[in-house]
Amino acid sequence: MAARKHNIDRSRESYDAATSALKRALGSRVRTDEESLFRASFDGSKLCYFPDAVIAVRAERDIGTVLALANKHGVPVTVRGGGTSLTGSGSPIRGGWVLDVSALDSIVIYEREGMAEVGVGAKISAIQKAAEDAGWYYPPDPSSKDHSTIGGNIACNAGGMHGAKYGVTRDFVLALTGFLPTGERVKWGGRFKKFACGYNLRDLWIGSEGTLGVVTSAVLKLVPKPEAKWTLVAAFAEEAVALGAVQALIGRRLLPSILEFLDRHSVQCAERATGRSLFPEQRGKPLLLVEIDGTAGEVAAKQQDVLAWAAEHAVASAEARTSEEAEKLWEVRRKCSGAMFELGDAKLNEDVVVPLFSQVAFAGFLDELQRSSRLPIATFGHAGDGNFHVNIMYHRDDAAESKRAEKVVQRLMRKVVALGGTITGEHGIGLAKTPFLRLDRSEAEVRAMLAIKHALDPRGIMNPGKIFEVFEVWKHRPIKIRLPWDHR
Amino acid sequence: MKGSLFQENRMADQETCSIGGDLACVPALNARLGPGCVLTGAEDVIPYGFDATAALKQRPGAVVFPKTTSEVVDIVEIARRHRTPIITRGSGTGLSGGSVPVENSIVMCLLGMNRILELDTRNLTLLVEAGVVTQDIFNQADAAGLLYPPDPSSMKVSTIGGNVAENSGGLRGLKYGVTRDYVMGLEVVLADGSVCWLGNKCVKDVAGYNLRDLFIGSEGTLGIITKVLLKLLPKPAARRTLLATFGRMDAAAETVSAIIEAKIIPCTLEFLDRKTIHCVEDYARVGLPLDAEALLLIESDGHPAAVEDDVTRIAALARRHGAIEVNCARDAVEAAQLATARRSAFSALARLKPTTILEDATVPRSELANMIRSIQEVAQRHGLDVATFGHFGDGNLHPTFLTNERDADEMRRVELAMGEIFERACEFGGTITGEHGVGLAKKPFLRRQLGNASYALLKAIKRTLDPDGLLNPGKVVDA
Ligand SMILES: Cc1cc2nc3c(=O)[nH]c(=O)nc-3n(C[C@H](O)[C@H](O)[C@H](O)COP(=O)(O)OP(=O)(O)OC[C@H]3O[C@@H](n4cnc5c(N)ncnc54)[C@H](O)[C@@H]3O)c2cc1C
Ligand SMILES: Cc1cc2nc3c(=O)[nH]c(=O)nc-3n(C[C@H](O)[C@H](O)[C@H](O)COP(=O)(O)OP(=O)(O)OC[C@H]3O[C@@H](n4cnc5c(N)ncnc54)[C@H](O)[C@@H]3O)c2cc1C
Repeated sequence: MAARKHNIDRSRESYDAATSALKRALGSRVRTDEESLFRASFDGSKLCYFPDAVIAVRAERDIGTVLALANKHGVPVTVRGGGTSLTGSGSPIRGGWVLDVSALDSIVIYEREGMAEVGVGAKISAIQKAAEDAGWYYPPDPSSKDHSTIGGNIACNAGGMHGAKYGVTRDFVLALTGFLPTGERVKWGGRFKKFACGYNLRDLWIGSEGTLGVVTSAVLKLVPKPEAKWTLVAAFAEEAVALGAVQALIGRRLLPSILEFLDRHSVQCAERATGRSLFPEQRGKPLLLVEIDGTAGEVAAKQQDVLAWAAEHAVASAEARTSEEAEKLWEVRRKCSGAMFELGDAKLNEDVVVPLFSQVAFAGFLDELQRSSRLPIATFGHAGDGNFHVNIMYHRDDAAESKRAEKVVQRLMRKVVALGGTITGEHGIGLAKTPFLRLDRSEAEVRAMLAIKHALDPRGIMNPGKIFEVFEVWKHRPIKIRLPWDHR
Repeated sequence: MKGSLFQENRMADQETCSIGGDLACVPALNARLGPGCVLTGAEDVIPYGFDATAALKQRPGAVVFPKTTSEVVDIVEIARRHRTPIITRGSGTGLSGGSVPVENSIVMCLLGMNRILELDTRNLTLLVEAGVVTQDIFNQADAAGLLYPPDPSSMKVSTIGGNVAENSGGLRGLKYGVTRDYVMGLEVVLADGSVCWLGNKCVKDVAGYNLRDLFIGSEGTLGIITKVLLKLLPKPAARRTLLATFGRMDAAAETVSAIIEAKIIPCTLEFLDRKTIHCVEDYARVGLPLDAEALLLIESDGHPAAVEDDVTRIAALARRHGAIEVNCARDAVEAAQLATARRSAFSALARLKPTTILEDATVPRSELANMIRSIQEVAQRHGLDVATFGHFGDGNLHPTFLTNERDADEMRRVELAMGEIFERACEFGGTITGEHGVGLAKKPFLRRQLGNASYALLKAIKRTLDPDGLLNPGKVVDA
């Protein structure tokens, strides 16, 4: 990734004096060279805003120093983990300082207790590996697990494919340590499972997107590693049938560990990208991926149930008994997102949730939306959670298409809220979803959130411009850059 | 510890201590709710002046029984106009003094809001009003082949609103977690009278701050919970109960560690010490072994194949770690008897002495044996009678002092002992309360537990959401 000259917004405040003070305090940990600033200027959304300095945090106490100075001088501070956020929550839109905590990456597994104590910079895949080496298992697995950090996962309350059975990041966080925006060190919870003393600020921090403080370490709950796994992929005549089958499967009370959905656009893109089809006879049909885990006996029993279900609803199916076979089935899910750019050069990727039993109605709505907007809308996601990644594809330079794409997002968001759903299930609000926050949350709720923000961060230094201030993402051009997780 | 909690209590104990009676807002309350739903008579309000916490009492000025959210909103408006504090109350089974009123306050008792609004067997959710009794929720779910796991021992009486406000735990905590883990949505009336609906039927939701979880465990100090949307689970197909008897308390603690280390997560891992065993047997007569130092009640549930496997392995581990005896409940009836016996521990102990002061210290599981030894040592040194039981799997202990609130000297020693026990829990990396909340009883210990910065923040949040200090003032923190 090469650094290049980029327009820095000269109209905004300069924090030169403060940055000099920061350099005096932390020396070479403070970087202001163009390359460092550029690398910290965007996240997975590729919305780029230059900061004034990047602090490569080595020890927790650095953070206290940074926050004290930032408060004194009123400098915005944006925390950065893996930089994979898809909403712009990690882009330092007001400049100021980026606090890079990715070096705080310690991992300790408490084998006898089934817990892990980790530094926030630890990558999810590293935590999973350490847990599994000890016979335990950390279930939340966002697709970005090789690149995203536990700090970012906590700040966004990230989900993943195992959500249907195991839940999301929040469900595995027992305790958090970190700093309030004012620079004071705090700890919520400990190496135990229950606490009822005082307000629950741990859960307030989770999902607050770096606007209420800096997390430095976490105690995570682990679960026993499932003894056996079994995977099935099934193709369906159309989307509504597939999502109807999801309801039928949930009705059987089977609680699959994974239940992923891909619509025909997603399947077709993956097929073209890989040059292969799982079901040559049934190319381009919507798919469901089902995984069952548990003890060997349990998996064997449930497997029969799932096969009977597939025979009833699907047009074709294939099962995997070994992890290599399963890996082949998963390829389509992993490849589909990157492959979508053949449908348009711009993508509005949403992350909506609808109640489980509104999924069929939602499929009908998406159909209608494609027809009326004449835009390809590729949808895939965590059907077991009702969480869908809706990708509206268009061509940026086509003014008419752009206008239609914007309309589609507006209608989509209104629809999910009307169905009793929510505008974001795992990515958060950041910048990209800000126009819709007030659609989802009542005035009293937003007022309460802002009051809390003010109580914790009186000078408003933590990640300003996010969540509450409207940012119309379709009016902003992402930079052209290839990130490690962009496969294409 | 500075708070001379019990001195204040003893003062409050004289039932004449406050007159409270004629609140200026009573006519407005009567006009809005109808006279039948407002109690003001001195005799009538006395039952609402205390909860299940020993030695805490204060007569309120009035008790109101709203039936709808809009009545709650209006009561808040009236109270605001008259600057009269509101103490929200469910069934008053709290063990930290959370619903004990202050002078000249309105107790808002939600027992009239007891409708089950919607059982959604497809999305596996249950929408209820806050005054519904926990057992009714369990029964509704059970009848539909579903499970509502949180089962505080008080579930036959406690309300779901109280459970949410305290984030109550229960016997199934080890595998299934606590109340928080089953709350998908809340309707909350804020101090300014606005109504928020926090959450929805979606499994995931990250739009904005998580206010729902802030209200869970807020003990009636940040808002009034009027409706709760609960998550239900498919009912496990099989369930087995084991009773393991130990000659040494350490052996029981080691067995618990060994079970978890073997990656077995039973749904229940309850502990009873010698004194508790005797009291419970005396009370419930289920045939508990009276020669044991410690007893573990273990339950495994899930897929039949997995349960059988777990039970065999657990029994072997218990024997290997020195269990004198391991027995499997023969059938569901016997299993239910054992669980009921465990649930009756507190009531059984309460029969022994006039006053039972029950604590709620929680430590990392690896410190359980050390913590119990500390409790015994502290009690002995202060010449006190203590029985300990609790949710071992969660590291959550209930040391229970059997005492007499009229014996001033003994109460002073209990107070000292409690302080020391909290100190030890903190040293072991634990917490002063795992499930009963802070209320009044744990308030003197909160700052020590949290540290100054967190403590100040708690106050800031309280002031932000309740600037006039209208809601359950004096609990958790002083704003
Ligand atoms: C290919 C790809 C696939 C993805 N798949 C999923 C998925 O399946 N599920 C899912 O939920 N998300 C997914 N995401 C989104 C993203 O990975 C998650 O939001 C992730 O949690 C971000 O982690 P990060 O370490 O990259 O955080 P960053 O992007 O660095 O930061 C994200 C936000 O968290 C804040 N933050 C980071 N660390 C801290 C800290 N220590 N203290 C306080 N605030 C902090 C930042 O300020 C920022 O607001 C995906 C992204 C990509 C690129
Ligand atoms: C015998 C016995 C056994 C117990 N066992 C357990 C156990 O196993 N696990 C456990 O965790 N606890 C246990 N408890 C403690 C107690 O039962 C719980 O804390 C319970 O949740 C309280 O419910 P309640 O309806 O009685 O609430 P109350 O005592 O009436 O109120 C408790 C607190 O919640 C607030 N509150 C009540 N309703 C609302 C509402 N709707 N909105 C806002 N605030 C509200 C009150 O202001 C107060 O602060 C036990 C108590 C007893 C007496």
